[in-house]
This record gives sequence, C-alpha cells and structure tokens, in this order.
Amino acid sequence: MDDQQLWHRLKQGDPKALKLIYDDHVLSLSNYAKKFTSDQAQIDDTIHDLFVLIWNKRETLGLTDSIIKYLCVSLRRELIRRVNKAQQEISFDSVMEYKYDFQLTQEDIFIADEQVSENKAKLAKGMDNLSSRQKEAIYLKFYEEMSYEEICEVMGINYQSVRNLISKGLLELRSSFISCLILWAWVTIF
Amino acid sequence: MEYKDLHDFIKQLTEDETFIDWVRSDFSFHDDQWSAFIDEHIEHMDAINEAIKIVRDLNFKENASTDVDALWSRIETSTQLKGRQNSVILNIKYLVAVAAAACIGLLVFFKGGFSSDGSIDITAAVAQITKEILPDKSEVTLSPGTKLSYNTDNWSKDRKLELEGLAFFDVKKGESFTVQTAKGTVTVLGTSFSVDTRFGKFEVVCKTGKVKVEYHDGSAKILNPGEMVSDLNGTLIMAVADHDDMIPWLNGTYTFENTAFSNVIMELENQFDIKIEIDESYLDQKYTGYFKQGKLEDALFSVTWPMKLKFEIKGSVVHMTAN
Repeated sequence: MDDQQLWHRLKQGDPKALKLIYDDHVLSLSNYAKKFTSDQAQIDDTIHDLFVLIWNKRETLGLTDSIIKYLCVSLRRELIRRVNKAQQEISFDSVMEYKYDFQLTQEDIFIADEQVSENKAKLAKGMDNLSSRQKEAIYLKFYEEMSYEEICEVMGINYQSVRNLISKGLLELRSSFISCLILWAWVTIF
Repeated sequence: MEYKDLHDFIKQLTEDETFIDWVRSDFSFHDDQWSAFIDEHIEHMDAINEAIKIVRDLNFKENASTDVDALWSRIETSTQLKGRQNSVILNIKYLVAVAAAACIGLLVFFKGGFSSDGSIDITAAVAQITKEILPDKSEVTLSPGTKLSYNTDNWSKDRKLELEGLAFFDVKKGESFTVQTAKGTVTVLGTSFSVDTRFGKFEVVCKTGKVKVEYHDGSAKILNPGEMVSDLNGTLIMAVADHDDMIPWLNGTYTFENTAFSNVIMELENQFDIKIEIDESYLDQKYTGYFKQGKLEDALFSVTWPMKLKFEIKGSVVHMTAN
C-alpha cells in the first residue's frame, strides 16, 4: 500500500492506518526532532499532539503523496514554535532574538564499516563548518531520503535554495576528499 | 552529462537524486540507467567510486530515545482508540476466560460512559479473528479489520447491526435479526450465516436456518442452508455453497476468485499486520486463489507464485517484485 492509499484510509477513520503511520515514522520523527531540541519530554509531547491532531482532524486533512513530508512539515513548525516560546519564557528580558538551531554533531554521523573511520572523522570535521540550514537540508536528503521537492516543503524554501544548501554543504563535506582526488587527477593527466 | 572537470563531475553525481537512490538502494533502483552510465564513463571509474563513497558515507545515526510503545499508548488514550477496540481473540483454549473478559469488557465499556446512547462501534483488530458476543448471546465472528456497530438499547426487540467487512453470525432464536450493509439487508429468525461486503462485493452464505436477503434495488431472496447469494453487475445471483467447507475463512482459508490483486494485498495486510510494497501496475491485475492464516511466508508464497512475483520480508514490510 502506498502513502496515498494509507493516507486515504486514515481519512476514512481506519485506526489501523494511524498505527501503521505511527510505526513507520515515529523513530524518524523523533530523530529529526532531536536536532532541534534536547528536551525529550518536549519531543514526545509534540509527536503525541501531532498524531492526536491528524486523527481528530482526519476528515479535513489535505491529500498527500508523502506522509513523512506532511508529518515533518507539521512537526518542524510546531517544534520551532515551542522551542522559541520556551526560550523566551526563560530569559524574557533578553533582547536577543532566539532562533532554533539545527544541531548535527560528530556523534550523529554513522559509518557502518569501522575500517572507514578515517572518512568519518573527515566528514564529522566538515559537518562542523556547515550552517544549521545546510545541515538540515543534508540530513533530510541523506537520512530521511527526501526528494528536493519534499525538502522545499518541509523547510519552507524554494527549490533553488534547497539545491544551493545541499550543493554547498556537500562541497564543504567533500573538501577533505579533494586533496586525494587532485593527486589522482594529477597522476592521470601527467 | 556535461561537466567542467572531474571535480564538477563528482559534484554533479553526489547531487543527483537517482544516483543517490541507486547507491542507497545497494544499486538496485535505477540500476539500468547507472550501469549504462558507468559503461559510458568507464574512464572515470575512480571518480564515480569517489562519488559512491561520499553518498554511502554520508549517513546518520538513529539515536532517537522516544519510548515508542509508551508514546503510542498515550496517543491511543487521547484519541479514544482504546475504547473502540473492544475485541477478543478467539482461541478454544481460553474460551472461558474469553467469555469472562468479554463480559468485563462490555461492563467497563458501559460504565465508562462512552455509550450513553447505547451505541457500540467495533473494529476488529488486525491479524486475528475476533469474536463478539451480542447482548442476547448471539455470536459474531469478525475477520480482521471488519467494522460492526449496533445499539444495546432495546436490543431484545430490535436486533439490528450495521456491517462493513466480513463476518459470520450465529444467531440465538428470537425476534428478527437484521444486518444492514451498504448494498443490502439480511434478515433472519435464528440461524447462522456469513456476510461479506469487502472490496465492494455483497455475498451472503446461509449455513443453518433460513435467511432473507434484500438487495438495494428492491429484489429479495430467501436462502436455505447451503445456499449463497452474491451480486454480479448489480443483480443478486443465487448459488450453492461448497458443501464441505461452506465458509472457508472461519477455518482460516481466504479465497479469491477473479479479484483485483489490490484486494488480496489489503487482506494480507489485515491478516498479518504487515505493509506490502508492490509496483502499482500489479494492483489491477486479477487473482484467483487462496491463502491460509498462520504462517506469513506460506501465505505470501501461495499468493505471489501465480502472479510470477517474489517476495522479501523486512520486519513488518514485505516487498513484492517480479520474479
């Protein structure tokens, strides 16, 4: 059953559809949310509210061909709102404007093959140089495996901006590989 | 593909969606396209390998710390899904316990205040046959995913249920007993019969007693034991049920005759609580055959081989692809 069919079943009030959607995406959503806040209770509360909302409003939900995109858009918007609100309550006298920060740390990078841990170190180092938006776009592309169009909708920016974020991000990450590449090219040419 | 230099060549590859999909799927998606690409650019094999390495290495840890079951339980409570699923697993061994549990379940249900008007909605749980005992001790056996609703007020005088799905009724003698469905109404005095409204069909099999079936076009049929009726192109057609195994699904065998494969998929998903991924082009194809409850692999095998498909089970997801 594809996303459109599953979503249709949810809209028709099939409780099983809600459970299937939950099972498919909860870890992914939780993992994504963790990049915005370290407050686990807040993450769980937001996911809870999101699923209760889509169930209660199922009849009026729009159509979607990508459930994870739909959930990520809503979760992201709500999380940013709550994180900013919480921060403002703590230090209301600050003049600083609080913004969410998408955190991807060295710990987030996963390399299955331990033999390539050298690559991991290089990638992790490159990750530190990325802006939080570059990190988020790369995360959505390579972890959530979303299409460029889906990332546009989740992050609320246009296609070209997404391409630029990912392009520049990859360039940064790859800088560590370039040195060996140049050497290889040099050897080939001469 | 046009590129300025090898640097640009790698850059373009690592940003290409189909290339990423190809690498991420262990070279199964878009493989024809990219195998051809490699043949064309065999002189840049090292650069292609470099791009593959980057896409492969760019991976993130799954380090979510949500307690998935606890959170689901909260969601279930908030959405009141728990109250709706008043279902019991059918198992001879635990029949006594089941009967007791059903009574307790119903009591709690009434006391819980969900049914101030006496109405009860049931959705049979996934992956198991559910047995429901009605207020007059009539019994309903529900196939997974079936929906049934009825009103306990005035039950002894007005035994009326609404059904969507597949169910078998064993009715205690009494006043008339009516099952309403989208396409027709089935009325009995005291008998056992099955009603199937899945996938747009309307089929009634009478096992014992007498059953009256009224179709939405105004026509009606009376069924004797062993007789069945189903609608074909908008009219009711009588037939004789297979005598030895009149209602095969009660024994765990689900049969299909010239049915869209999408319906078979849906039934498998209901029975085994799985999700099936399959190319859309198969959904409209017709299937004739059966599968049995119990072992997932056996059921998948009996469904896939006539369609020339093979399957792969990954957790609760099953991929079906051309064999």
